[in-house]
Amino acid sequence: MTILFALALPIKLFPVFLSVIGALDLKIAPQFSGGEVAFVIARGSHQIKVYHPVYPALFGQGSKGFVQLVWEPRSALPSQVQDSIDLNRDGTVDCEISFSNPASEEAAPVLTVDPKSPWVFPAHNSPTISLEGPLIERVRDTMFVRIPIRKMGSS
Amino acid sequence: METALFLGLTSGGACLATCGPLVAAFLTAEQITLKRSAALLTVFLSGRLLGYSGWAVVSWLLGQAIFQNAAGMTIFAGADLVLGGWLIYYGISRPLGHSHETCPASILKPLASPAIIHHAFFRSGIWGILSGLQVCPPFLAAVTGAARTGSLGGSLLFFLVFYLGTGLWFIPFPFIGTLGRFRQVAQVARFLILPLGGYFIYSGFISIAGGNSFYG
Amino acid sequence: MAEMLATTNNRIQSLPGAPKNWWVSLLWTLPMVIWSMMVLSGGLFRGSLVERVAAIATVAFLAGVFLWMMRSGETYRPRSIFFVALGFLFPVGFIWELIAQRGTMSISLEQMLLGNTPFCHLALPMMALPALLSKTIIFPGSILPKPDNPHAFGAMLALWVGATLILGRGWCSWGCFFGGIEEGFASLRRKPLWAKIDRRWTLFPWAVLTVVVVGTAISLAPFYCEWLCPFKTVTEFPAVTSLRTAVQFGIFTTLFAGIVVVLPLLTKKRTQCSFFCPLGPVQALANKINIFELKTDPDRCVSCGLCEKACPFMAIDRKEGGVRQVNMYCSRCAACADVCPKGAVRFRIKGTPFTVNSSVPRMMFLSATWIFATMFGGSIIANSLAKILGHLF
Repeated sequence: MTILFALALPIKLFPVFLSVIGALDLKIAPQFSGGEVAFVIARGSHQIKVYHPVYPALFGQGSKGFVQLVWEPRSALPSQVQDSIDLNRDGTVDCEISFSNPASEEAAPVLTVDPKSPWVFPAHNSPTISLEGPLIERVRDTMFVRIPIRKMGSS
Repeated sequence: METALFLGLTSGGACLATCGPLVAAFLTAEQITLKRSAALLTVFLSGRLLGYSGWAVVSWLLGQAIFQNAAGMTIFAGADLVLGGWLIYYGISRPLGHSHETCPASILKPLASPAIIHHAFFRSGIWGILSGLQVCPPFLAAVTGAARTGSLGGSLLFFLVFYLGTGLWFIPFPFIGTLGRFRQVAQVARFLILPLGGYFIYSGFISIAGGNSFYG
Repeated sequence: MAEMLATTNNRIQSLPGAPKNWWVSLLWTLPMVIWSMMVLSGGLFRGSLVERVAAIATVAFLAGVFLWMMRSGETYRPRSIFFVALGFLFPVGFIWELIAQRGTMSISLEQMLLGNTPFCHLALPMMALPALLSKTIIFPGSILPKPDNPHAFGAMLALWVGATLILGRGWCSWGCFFGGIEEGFASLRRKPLWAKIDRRWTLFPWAVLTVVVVGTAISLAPFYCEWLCPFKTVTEFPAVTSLRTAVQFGIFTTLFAGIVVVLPLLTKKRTQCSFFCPLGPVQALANKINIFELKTDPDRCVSCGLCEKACPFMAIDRKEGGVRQVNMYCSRCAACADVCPKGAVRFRIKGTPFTVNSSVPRMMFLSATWIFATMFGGSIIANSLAKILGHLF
């Protein structure tokens, strides 16, 4: 039986096992994946994908987290980008984000976050500090940004 | 609070390994029913919590006195380094070859002897308080952690979480003996002190050297 | 030459389960050759010249090793040659790919954000608690394989579950390439320089397992990968750009130098696998459900202790009367079986008596194991060989 199993493993069992894992609805932890896209802001030559806030915790949600934003395509962005973002779509600007988009791959981009809501943490000319923000990283033809926040609506 | 939980989970095993046989002996000293044994254990653990609460207050006072300025933070960082080294020494030297080690609180055991305290429940409670007042390296690490919280509430919460972490080891305690694996579980529990010591050395080193950014 | 053959023949007669002639050995080897050609068919029939040469060399190598096991009745030494080759060739191929793709062994943040970090089997124990509690995998990779990341969590889990069901803890001596590195260093000296090791250290992996499981659940990051894995030295690691990453670099390089290189060299034991690896206890538990085992026949054992000295995992206990018995930490490397002068330690199918012809369980175990080892290890060897040959020629 074990010999048959060993023979069947790569041919038949592997794809079956992968389907079972797929059916389990497991997800990569959002502090790595960035979470799910909440909405997209169109800006003419480019767009900004705003993700749902992530509050990492083993149970439920933590008190602090981050919001991931992705500017794409990066090739359409100027060397200095500035944007006012309403993170929770309540009609008020929550923060002003500006970052550099250096042409040279050797130069690291830096991020500045000017909070307009009390639950957004500031950052000034910051490189990437941690996966939970501040984070700014070129990813292929996009720019990934993560800004640290408290629970939305808190102060 | 994650530190408190981590501290409790990793050091609680060592507590069980050293104090467990005494607790077992104390619980089985008389011929008692399972219900009475469970009741005595509950009183013991409550007394232990009371002892921990006392230490939480002491930690808060210590934190207020020392941890209010940069010099105080450096003192605590240094204490972390020393504690980490002591924990590693405690973890290596005690498990390898010492079969008659006892809980540090056992020196106070005569105070809770049947000759002095006749009532079993009262005796359990006193013994619990005494075990909660023990001064061993993991416990001192908890004191520095609690002192850092800066508030009495934070200190009490730290010790509560630490207590829960150590207490988790007592849950399967009655079953470990029946599995016949107590010595091996106790050995693993003692080994847990080593990475705990490493954590404190790292914590102290980072506090002194500074720097915590992703990219420097 | 005649004397050497006679000595070999005498030794062959004493080993349990040795086929007695070349034809039987070749007959057992032929299906394995066909299987390895099927597994490596991509390289053999559709690859470039270099890939074909590498595939042919790998098929020949695997066939040679298996034939050696069949003809000689030995298991440990031929297995070791395959295993050490796997251990040293895997990092070559892996690092080669990294340098080709990104010019560095450092894990890039871009790769993490894209979910392209390859998942490693050593990270599996840490994933269980968060997966059960929140259905999330705490790793910057992907759940299912994709073109940019074939080494997804799901793929490694499938492979590991399959390997564990077939091999039990045999994964540690027939599959895990990291163990092959260690075994290579452990085999350099003829005799250990440091023979006295406290057996209680074999329980330390349980403490490491507890720490990495608790640490991952509390920190919400793959604790073992971030702080403890010595094999980042030969795969990939976060760039040293801060004090924290510098400390992490120091820890894993020290661990690699200490427990993967120096201690195995001095003790001739698999010290990382026996005294540190958090997957070890999980694999040891898997031994309980695996149908194969190595067991000592107490009626044959003369308490010489050679098996205990030979075991690289310190997985032999001393029982009453000095009889040695294999315990749950056995990795089925068969060092004990090969060294036993009385054939007391033998492969067995659980539940069957010792009177059953011991060559049958051994052949069954080796057949199942080699099918897996060819598929997994053989592919890695061929891939790495192709890269080396491609560079040289």
